[in-house]
Amino acid sequence: MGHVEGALDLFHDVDPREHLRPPARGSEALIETLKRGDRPRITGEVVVPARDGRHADFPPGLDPRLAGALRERGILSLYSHQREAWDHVTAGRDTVVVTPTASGKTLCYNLPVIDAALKGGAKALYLFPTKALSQDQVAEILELNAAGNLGIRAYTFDGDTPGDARRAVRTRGDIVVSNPDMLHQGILPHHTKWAQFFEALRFVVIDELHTYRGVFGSHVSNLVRRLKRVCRFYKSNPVLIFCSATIANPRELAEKLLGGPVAAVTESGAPSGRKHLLVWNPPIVNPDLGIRASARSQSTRIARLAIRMGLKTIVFANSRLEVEVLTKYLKDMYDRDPRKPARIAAYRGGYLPTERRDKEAKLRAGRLDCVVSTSALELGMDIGALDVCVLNAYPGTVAGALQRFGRAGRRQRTAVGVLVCSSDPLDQYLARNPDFFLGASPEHARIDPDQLLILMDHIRCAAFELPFEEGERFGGVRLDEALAYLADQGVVHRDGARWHWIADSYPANSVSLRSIAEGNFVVIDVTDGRKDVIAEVDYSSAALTLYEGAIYLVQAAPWQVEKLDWTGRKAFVRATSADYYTDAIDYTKLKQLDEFGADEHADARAGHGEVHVVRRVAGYKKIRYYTHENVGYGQVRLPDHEMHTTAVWWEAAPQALAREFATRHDALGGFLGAASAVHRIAALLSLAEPHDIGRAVGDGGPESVWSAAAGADGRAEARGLDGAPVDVRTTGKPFRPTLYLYDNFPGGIGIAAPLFDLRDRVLDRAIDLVAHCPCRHGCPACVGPVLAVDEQAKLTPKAAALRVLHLLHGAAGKERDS
Amino acid sequence: MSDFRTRLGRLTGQAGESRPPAALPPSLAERLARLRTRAAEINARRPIDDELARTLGGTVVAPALLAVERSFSLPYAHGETRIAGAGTVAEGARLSLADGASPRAEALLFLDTETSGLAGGTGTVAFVLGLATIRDDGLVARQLLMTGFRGERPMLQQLVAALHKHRCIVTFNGKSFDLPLLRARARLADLEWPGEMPHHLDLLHVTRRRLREGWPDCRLRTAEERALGYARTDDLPGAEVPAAWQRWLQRGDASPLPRILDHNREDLLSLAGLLAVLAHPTVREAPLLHAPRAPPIASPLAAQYPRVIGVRP
Repeated sequence: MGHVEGALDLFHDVDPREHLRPPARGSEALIETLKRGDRPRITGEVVVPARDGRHADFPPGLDPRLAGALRERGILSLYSHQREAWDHVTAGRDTVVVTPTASGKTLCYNLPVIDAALKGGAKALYLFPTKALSQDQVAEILELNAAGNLGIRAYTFDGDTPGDARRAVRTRGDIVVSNPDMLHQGILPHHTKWAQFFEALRFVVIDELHTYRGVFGSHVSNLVRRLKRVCRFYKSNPVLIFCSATIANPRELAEKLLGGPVAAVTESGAPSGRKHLLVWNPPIVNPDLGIRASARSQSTRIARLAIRMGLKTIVFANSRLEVEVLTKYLKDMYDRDPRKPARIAAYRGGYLPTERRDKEAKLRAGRLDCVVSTSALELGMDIGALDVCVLNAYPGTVAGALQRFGRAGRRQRTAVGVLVCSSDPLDQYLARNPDFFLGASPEHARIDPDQLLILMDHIRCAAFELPFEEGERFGGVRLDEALAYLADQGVVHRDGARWHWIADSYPANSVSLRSIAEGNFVVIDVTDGRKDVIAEVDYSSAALTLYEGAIYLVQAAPWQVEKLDWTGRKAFVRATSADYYTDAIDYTKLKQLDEFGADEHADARAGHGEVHVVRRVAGYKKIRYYTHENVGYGQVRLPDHEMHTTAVWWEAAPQALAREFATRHDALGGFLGAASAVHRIAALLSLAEPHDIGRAVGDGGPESVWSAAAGADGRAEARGLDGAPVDVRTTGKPFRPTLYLYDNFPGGIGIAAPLFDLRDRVLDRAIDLVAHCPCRHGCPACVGPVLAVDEQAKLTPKAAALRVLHLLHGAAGKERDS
Repeated sequence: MSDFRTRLGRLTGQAGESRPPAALPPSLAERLARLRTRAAEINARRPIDDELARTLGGTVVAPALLAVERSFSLPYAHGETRIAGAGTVAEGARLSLADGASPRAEALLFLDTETSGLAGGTGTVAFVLGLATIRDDGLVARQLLMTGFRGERPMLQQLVAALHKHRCIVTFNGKSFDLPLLRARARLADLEWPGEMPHHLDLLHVTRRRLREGWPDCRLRTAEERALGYARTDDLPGAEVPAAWQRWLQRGDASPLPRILDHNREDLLSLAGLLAVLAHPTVREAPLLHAPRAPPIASPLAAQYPRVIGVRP
């Protein structure tokens, strides 16, 4: 990014007018300043009005000691949602509470939990997705404890808990704060050690519910099944309390996670100040190449301006490296004098807990002017009130962006949130379509607890924990089938009416909640004789990123893969200074196995169902940075990746294709470009990481014989699964190219079916993405890399992709009008 | 939608154990039918408890639970070590319990288990419980063998009774392995664990402190060779025990069971022998009572027997 930053002159390119005028104060002044200037950088704007708080009295039954502690801490009444949560929970209803950032959500569960502990030895288990959040939670309970001398014992229990303290936690803790991984591997498989705890367990709190989505969420759902099963053994039936940030379907997610009805508290009673949100697109600095100033330089400028105006500011970046660089830029300006206390701080994972605690305390006390953070500060953690939130690039989801914006907000004055778009295609799409983001309802979080592989993993773990009784239920497959299968494998044994675990293993150790089953690849840096693990790559993307010769990027620093040990799951890399990156050429062949649903019009047909996917990485391209020119090609020899999963697909009718395209080859190119756009939009709409979804263009129908990809020369080409080129003009069967998006997880994780339901929106937005991209012929931001020679073609890649998209949408010919 | 087995086969097929489509797993109906036939075959083949008890020279004490008892008159030579008579063990041991009292030899309970695995956790089961006591100048090894899961509860009941009766248990690594495991299984079987447990002398810790200097490791097998001058012959390697138990359960193959009991009995004898060595007045002065005359540890037996501390957390 060097020359882009240079073009803007990071340290001196301050608007001259800012020097002439004394800095105005307050966030309104900041907005005014940001809006000045000739070039339109603000592409979207929305104002969320202030809202008054709604209060409720302490519930009549509240233990007087607890009420006293609250008053001691200055809490004289509750917010309406806290009281509502209390009413549900104390009535024994499983409850989900949806709360914006900093609305006092912890009291929603701490009140009933502490109250019951005070009144009669009830115990509670809290689960947070990270250790840092657990420690925060304990600190908060201890403060309340101290305020009222309540004598509640709250402990964290995680990998850091020393061995000799564990016993005390198990037997004496009123509240045990842990994480799903620890419950899975450390607590449930040893539940007899926790017998006292489980017997008295009355509440289970699962906070940050929105983070439990996709594969992780499906695992956690099964973990909840196991937890409830162990509780039944100890004759306890705890109430579950979920807390979630704003997502579209918190109640649905909680009910899926729990497998039963859940009461929902969705109206926050907490007051909130006025919020002013802006979408900011960096200016174009090189009109010829269409290169924009980096998001980093713009975020730095906005933050510096805010700090100068005396506004407490938080900057979110998406990688640790980015955090460090932004911090340096800001410190260079504000922390030059080492004798003065620092005004700028970085906050990210990888720091020592003491250092993080220190930063949090300074933030709360208002002793820092600006903090630069990764998503680490997106969750939980009380860091006091801030005025300005700058997002250095889109975090990937609307929910995540709103959560981060929620960090800024005070009762008395307007808070400002600025999304600074990067050059990433998604960001540029948002810059052009700010309503997508500002007016958006947040995404739906999806999980599939009965995903067969995940379910079987947890049936193994559950059988280890307690024998299965005949007729017992666990999730969505019939247990007799699952157990007979496991008996075949020799891990369980039926004795009378019970199935006992008999294998010599500890199944929880081979099941990781956070990744899929195949075993992650570790990336080992061997530069200068080192042997450091620098990254982990999950199985499904290893073939695409770790082939020998690949340039593997860690925080934008390039490493070259020297050797890939496929069976040992290791890639050995060496630091390099290549000016290119590599892009795998992979052929993905899909075969439709079963169609669950379809919809068609005259020109095209959309469907979804089960598919068999075979993916082969045949080679890779070397692509130079910035110019995106193809500077080389390499071969790859790796085993095929086979997978049975779910997919959504679009197929064009042969006669429509013949009408719209002069040659089949043109149509194929159009499909590849369309797939690129549709893939990006689908990831955006389904709250998925782009690699959670795979895409392919292939021969439609069950008898698929070819699949298409951009070949070594960058042109679309069709190949059979043997890798041999197939001439699509002469396949001897109807030409039915089909665009597939598939769930990139064996068995599928529930992404495909919702995409089918959203099929029109997906196409609408993909058309939007391509049609409104400022490029002329097509570019990596819309249809993928484009060859110079194609720019001269009669039918540009961009036009071809649009034609395909309109065709699939049932509006062929429309692109010629627009 | 396809049936469970086919779906799972397709999924796991891609999941590494790549299988050609032709070898797709059989249908559910086929498999269930096969399973039923097999269950019938196994039951026909599986020796009933009485028959097995006769073969092993034991008795049936409860459904699916056999007891095998052997006595060794004292003093008994275990390798180069003499396991002394009742009085001398306790005296020689100068065993001093936490409360300062010295237990009579009759108060000692030597304990060792054979388990379905080494992983620990509630899913690991001890299917052989070896208990040895000293009475009337004899060492009595009483081994309880589960032939099915129904035998577990009565087995654990006998354990709980024995724990109530004895003042001190003697194990090798029992503090972190055998006892937590038995306790977990007792909780699963809804049995009350003694509120006041006997004292527990874990010889692993004592051996490590007093004898281990110069040893490559501190396994029981090493201690036998180095400290007792005893080398096992035809011992079933400990690592093979879990598989042998599975074979018995799944196929009714009783052939390894006698060797499992032998193996466990050797462990019990070595416990008593090791206590005698540790009790010897010279131990403190001369940590290596027996110079390494037995073949040093290259013995595959020692290598294959990982049930020592340090393997598990």
